[in-house]
Amino acid sequence: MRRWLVLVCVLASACGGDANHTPVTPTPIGLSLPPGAPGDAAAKPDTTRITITTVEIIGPDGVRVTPDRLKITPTAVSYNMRVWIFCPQGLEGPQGSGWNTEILEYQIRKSSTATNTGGAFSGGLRLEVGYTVIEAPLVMTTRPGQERVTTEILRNYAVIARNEFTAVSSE
Amino acid sequence: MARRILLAVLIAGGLACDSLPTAPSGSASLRVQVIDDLTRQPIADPVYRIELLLTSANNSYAQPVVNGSATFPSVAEGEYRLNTAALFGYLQVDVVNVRAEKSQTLTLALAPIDDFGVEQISVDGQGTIPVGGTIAIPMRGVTLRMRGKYQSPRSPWPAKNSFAASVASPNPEVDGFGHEGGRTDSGPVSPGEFELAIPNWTPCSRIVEGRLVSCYTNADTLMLTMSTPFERGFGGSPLIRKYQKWALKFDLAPGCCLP
Repeated sequence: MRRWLVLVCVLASACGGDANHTPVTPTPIGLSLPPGAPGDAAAKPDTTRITITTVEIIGPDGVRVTPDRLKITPTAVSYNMRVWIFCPQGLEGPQGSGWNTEILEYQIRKSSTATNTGGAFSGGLRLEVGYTVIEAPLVMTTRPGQERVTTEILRNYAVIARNEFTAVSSE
Repeated sequence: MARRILLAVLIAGGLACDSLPTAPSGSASLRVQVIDDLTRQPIADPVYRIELLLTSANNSYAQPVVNGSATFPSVAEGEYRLNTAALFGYLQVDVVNVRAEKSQTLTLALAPIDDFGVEQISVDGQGTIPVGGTIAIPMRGVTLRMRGKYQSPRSPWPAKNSFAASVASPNPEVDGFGHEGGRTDSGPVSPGEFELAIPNWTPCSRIVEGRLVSCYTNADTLMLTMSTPFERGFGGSPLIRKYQKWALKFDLAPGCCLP
């Protein structure tokens, strides 16, 4: 079983497509949103499934921007994505036994709607009850365009939570 | 006269509303309608072999889903967790707590996933091997064949998904997953069925001086993987990796085994 866990972790780390980025680390927050958390990060009352409540995009100046208002500059601008995940009580890890029930996987994929090229981050995580945040860089190209950004939480490779938005960058 | 009509209406109304079997005193009944999370339609196809499990600290109940619903006719009152087991195809993504009291109905949505399940194992020359059956292992091993059902929303038929199965030892970290004397041949044979063949398989994992050692004589779990097709020399991506219970015994030939 441990062999499978190691294999999954190796595969997960090997799948990270983008280079030159800071590590992407899930951070458990707890049952309550911390001060300063965005209002749309809050899960609806009686949420019964693991849910990506919102994805924030933070600009270089630390201010949240909407995905259709990203700016291009002569040098690539690195925004920061903050993926807010809510886990209701009863679905926190580990569940049952065996590698495939102890950990989840997250995948963040970015692809140009014009060329279908892009990159991906992925890794394993265990959710605790309440909120978890995954921070990941979102590097936009230096030309105007659109990129589809998909975040998925997987269990046994099955998608159990998903968020998708189109990032639009213009001058 | 008016009083009689009123009484008849009240009785008829009461009968019409009581759609569940009457629960014995001190117990409850629960009817669960099972629907597809995407289509919101009942999951009525028996191919998925969905079973609902109702568990509390002191009691547990299991009922199969038939025609899209399962009924627990007599449940001790209390707090329960509702879970789902299926041969393949659906995953319960919600945590469902149920307070069982009187008669009630609830709806459970299951997410359709890429998944497969083994329904039949056979060995060339030995026929079908049932759950708990014994496979005779000659010196060069056996050709294991497995058939079953699958579905793949992300890579649907006619995509040539690949299927793999390992018959793990009870202690796979030590004794491994058996030895294949060739390449597994697998693929879908229809929009919902697959088959795979593992040549010269033996329940042994290490080769020492030309012989296979670390052989095991029983197994209880299949480790299953379905992947997208190989494309242009690149391996497929996993669509599902899972365990399936299937007990087997192995009768090793004397001096077994050769790779």
